[in-house]
Formats: sequence, C-alpha cells, structure tokens
Amino acid sequence: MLITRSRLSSTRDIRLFISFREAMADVQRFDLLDPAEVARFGGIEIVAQGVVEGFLSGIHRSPFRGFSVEFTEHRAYQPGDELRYLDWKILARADRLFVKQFEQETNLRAMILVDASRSMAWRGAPNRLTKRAYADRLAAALALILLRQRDATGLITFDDVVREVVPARVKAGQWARLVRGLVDTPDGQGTAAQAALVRLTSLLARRGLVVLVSDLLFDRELALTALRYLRHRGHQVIVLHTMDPAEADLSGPPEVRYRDPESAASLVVRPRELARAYQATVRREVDAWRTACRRRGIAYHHILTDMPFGMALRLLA
Amino acid sequence: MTFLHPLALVGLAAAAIPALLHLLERRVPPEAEFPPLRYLSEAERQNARRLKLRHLLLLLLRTALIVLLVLAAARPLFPTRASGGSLHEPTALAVILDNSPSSGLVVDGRPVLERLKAMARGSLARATASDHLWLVLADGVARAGTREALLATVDSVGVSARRLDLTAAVGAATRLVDAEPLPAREVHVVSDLQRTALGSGRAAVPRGVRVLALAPPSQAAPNRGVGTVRVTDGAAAVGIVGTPGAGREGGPAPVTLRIRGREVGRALATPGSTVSISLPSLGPGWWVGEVVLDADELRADDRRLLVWRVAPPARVAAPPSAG
Repeated sequence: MLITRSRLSSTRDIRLFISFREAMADVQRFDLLDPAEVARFGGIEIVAQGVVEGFLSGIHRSPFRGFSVEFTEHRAYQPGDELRYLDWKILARADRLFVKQFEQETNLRAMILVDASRSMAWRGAPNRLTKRAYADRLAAALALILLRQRDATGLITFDDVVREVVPARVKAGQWARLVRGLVDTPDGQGTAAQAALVRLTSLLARRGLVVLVSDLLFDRELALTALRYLRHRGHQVIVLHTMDPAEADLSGPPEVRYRDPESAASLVVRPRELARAYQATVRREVDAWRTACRRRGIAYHHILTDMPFGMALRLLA
Repeated sequence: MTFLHPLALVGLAAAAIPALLHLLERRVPPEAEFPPLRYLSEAERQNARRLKLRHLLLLLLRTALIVLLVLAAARPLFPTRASGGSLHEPTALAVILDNSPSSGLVVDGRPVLERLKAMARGSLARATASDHLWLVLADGVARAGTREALLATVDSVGVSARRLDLTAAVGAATRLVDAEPLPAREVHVVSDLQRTALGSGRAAVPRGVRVLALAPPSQAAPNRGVGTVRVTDGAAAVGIVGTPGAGREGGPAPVTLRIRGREVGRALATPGSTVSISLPSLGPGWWVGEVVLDADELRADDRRLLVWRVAPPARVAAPPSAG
C-alpha cells in the first residue's frame, strides 16, 4: 500500500483511507470492479492507487518495458517486476527483494493527453462516471504504473486550447503533480479539439509514448493528421477512444430533441426507431478509427466507461 | 357484397384519425444533451428514406386496421357457392303480410297494400333454396312454400275483410321459425302497424329469433265510412262515422241504398250523423241490400251489406163457425 497514515492530513482523508483499506481487504481485485463503484471510495488518487494495486497483483510481469543495460541504482521490488532484474546477491545477503535499474529505464517518456472538452463531461446515466471522470482516473492509474517503473511521465489536458501541461519527469512527487493537473483542469467549453492537438505536437519534442484519452468527437481526418505527425516524429501513439455505453446504444423517450453540448446543433429523433441504424453508424465509426489508426501504426482501443479500470489498463499492457 | 349493419359504416370516418393525429399532434419533445450528435445525424441521413417509408406504412396500417374494424362491425355478407350465391346464411323466415282492411287505405293514389306487398316481395326475393319460408296473411294461417310459390301468393293477395291480431301472429311465427334447425331465424312483419292491430298483449320472442317490423311511412288520411245500418218502419237509418277531419274537409257525402243491385234511395250525410233513406214498398220475404258511401281513401268501410225480412201483412181469419 502506498498511502500511509502519516501522509494523511485531514479527518476526511483518514476516513477515506479507512474505507479504502476495508474495501481492499474485502475485494482483492479493486481494478476489476465497476468504475462508478470504485469512484465512490474517493478522489482520483485513492481510486488510481487502488486500481494499480489490484492490477499489478493480477499480472506476473511489468506491463511496460523500459529497462536497459546500464545499471544505475536499486529499488524495492514491486509485484509485477520481472524476476530477471532481481538482485539475487542482495536477496542472499540481506533477505530483501531489490531490482536493478538501468540508465535507459527512464528513457521511456510517456505523455498522457486527456481530452477535457465539454463533450467529455457527459454521462448517459447518473450511476456512471462521466467520460472525463473515467479518463482522469484511468490516466492517473496509468501514470502511476509508468512512474513506478521509473518512466518519465507527463500530462497535457486540452479542450480547444491546451489547459494544463505537466512536463514528463520521473522525480518524486511527479504523480501528485499529474493528479493535480487533472484536478485543476475544469470541464472545457471548447469545440475544436483538433486545433489543440496540432498545438500538442509542438510540445512533444522528445520521442516517447503518447497516450490520447478522448471521446474523439472531432474531425477524424484532422485529428489523424496530428496523430500521424506524432508518429512521424517517432512517438509510440496509443489512442483510448472513451465512450459512454449510452453513446454506443441509443435509447430514451419516444421522441426527444438531442442537443450537441459543444455546438448549437440539435436534432429531433425517435430513439427506438433509429437505435439499430445508430448502433451500426457507431460501429462503422469505431471501425473507421481502428482501421485508420492501424494504417498509421497507432494503437487504438475502444473503451466504454462501464469497463473496469483494470481491463482498460490490460489493453495497454 | 352487402352489409348487415350498414349504419356502422359511418364509423369509416374514424379512419382519418391516425392521419389527423399525425398532423395535429405536434408537441414539443423534451430536450437532452447528446455529445455524439454527429453519429445520430449520420444515422438519420442514411435512414431517412427508410424511416419515411416506415412512417407511411405505419399510417396506412393503422388506417387499414380501423377500416377493417368498422367493416367487421358492419357485418359484411359475401355470396358463396355453398349458399347458392346467397348473401346470408340459411334462414328460417316467416313473412307476416298484414292485408287487413286498413291496408286498403289509398295514399297518394296508391293502396297501402301495394306497398306492403312490395316489401313482402323484397323479403321473399332475397331468400334462397337453403331457406325455409312461410307467409302469414290476415287470416293467421302460415303458408309454407318455395320462394316462387309464396311470391305468387303475395301477388294475388287483396285487402281482406278480416282483422289481423299482429301480436298473436308474431308469437305464432316466432315459434314456427324457432323450431327450425337453421343457423338464422327471422320474422318479418310487413304491416301498416295500425294501433288496433297491435292489441294489448306481448309476443314472447325466443332467443335467437330476430323480428323485423317493416312499415311504410305512416300518413293518417281523413276517413269516413258506413258505421251502422238499421231498417225500421219502411226506412233504413244509416249512421256515418269518420275521423275528426273527414267531415269538415270533405263536407256531406252522398249515401246510396241499393236493393238487389238497384238504387232505391239516396241522401247526403256527414260523419257523425244518421240519415234515413226511405224504402220502397216491398213484398214479404228476405231482402238483401247495400249502403254505399262515396269512395274515399279507405274503401273497405264505404260499403255495407244489410239483410232484412219483410213480414207478410197480418191477417185476421174468421172461421164460419164464429159467431
């Protein structure tokens, strides 16, 4: 457990900590619970830590590679670390588990891009997380995993402009900065995320891993142009297409006027009679994104906001 | 095709309800946010034609459903080969033709009986070989027969002097048709429905027997007739009766007394009055005469037969032995 009583300041934090510990005691795989249920235990930090604990206990090796050959230092063994990096001499001498770290380990520079546009602040049901809330928690968990591996991790949030930039670092307190960056980014009002994406490309100077968490409700070609540019610059790009289940399957009252939160556009539809056609359109759109990304060497994953965080992280492993 | 309840076809107007609802029900739908509106627009654009066609078909289907329901309520009848081309199921039918004296009333220059006969012919003409038929006239006798035979009987029917008790006739006819093992049983009462013909009783109609009263439009015509004739003291006292309007409108009418076809006397009389017509001197014996009133709309009561006896003159016999 990464959180200790000494680091908790307020009574509220202590209460959350206790409830979190109890939950963890009851449920071994916190990462496989319903995201909305998990989110009840606390803020982004608590949820992300719980998810990562559960996630790492369920796999047998580190999900992300970054180790090199030039030894720099030791660090305590974490569940999931590859046993081949275990320092057997220290184990034999002191009966303690340490893994060896190498110079190039921190060469993996990961940048997590979180879409904070207005469309992300939407959820199809009150008992679900908004797409933004889900993306925040997933990004925080991903960042924690990367930082535990000593990978420099940064964060950029954006809507129609770049909102928060946390440069990629591996030093202590980086995760807290990342989480603060997520928390400090309000739900956006923007509508033209592709412009921000173009701006992002100039911020990512050094090669590394770029993870885009977004609902991709912007012009596909323009967005792909920006992502292709990143790929061209040598970045490994992963797109996490976040979608609320209500966006995948149309339902609702017999007749309703749907309004786009990012524009003045609206449309009167009868969800029941359009449901099948809409479902096919969404499926086509997802397939189009997947195909377009694959052609450009970009990893694409479609994630619904009711998918447990552990399963979403496993897609990246 | 014909309909058992054609009035129900008025309900066809309800077929316009779906279209009217479609046009009038333009309520404001609730609003909601939905970020992937672009997917929705795309889905609708691609399915616009299909949706329009579907809406149209739905409208037609709803309209057709209402039309079918109304037609079903109107009970359509289709000719089938099994029923010999008839438009109804095998029926036991008794037609009561009221040819009592009141049917002789002339309305618009045409006797009521002719209209009644036309109605009876209409009822019988629709009968088929699978139907069982009877015809009841004022004499109360139920005549069974084929359609053609009964139609011929109807054609030959004249105004009867007998009064028909409609209540009794309907009761007898319903019992008659009820005894028949046919799916439908009907009694058609073709009458002018004169008040006195209906009587005071009630006819018990068995369940499943339909009684149809077919009557021409009622028009109460002024009437006068010969009420009573009484021969006394060498004269015939003739009482004239009539409806309240008959006397005032028509004024006095000539009354003629005939004996053995020969006119022997004449007088003018108004309804409600009694006139006396002198008789010629007649020899002893039975005499037959008739009092004839000028014809009006109801001929049956314009002529009355009378029979009387003239006694031989009294004679006094004096025997020789009498003192």
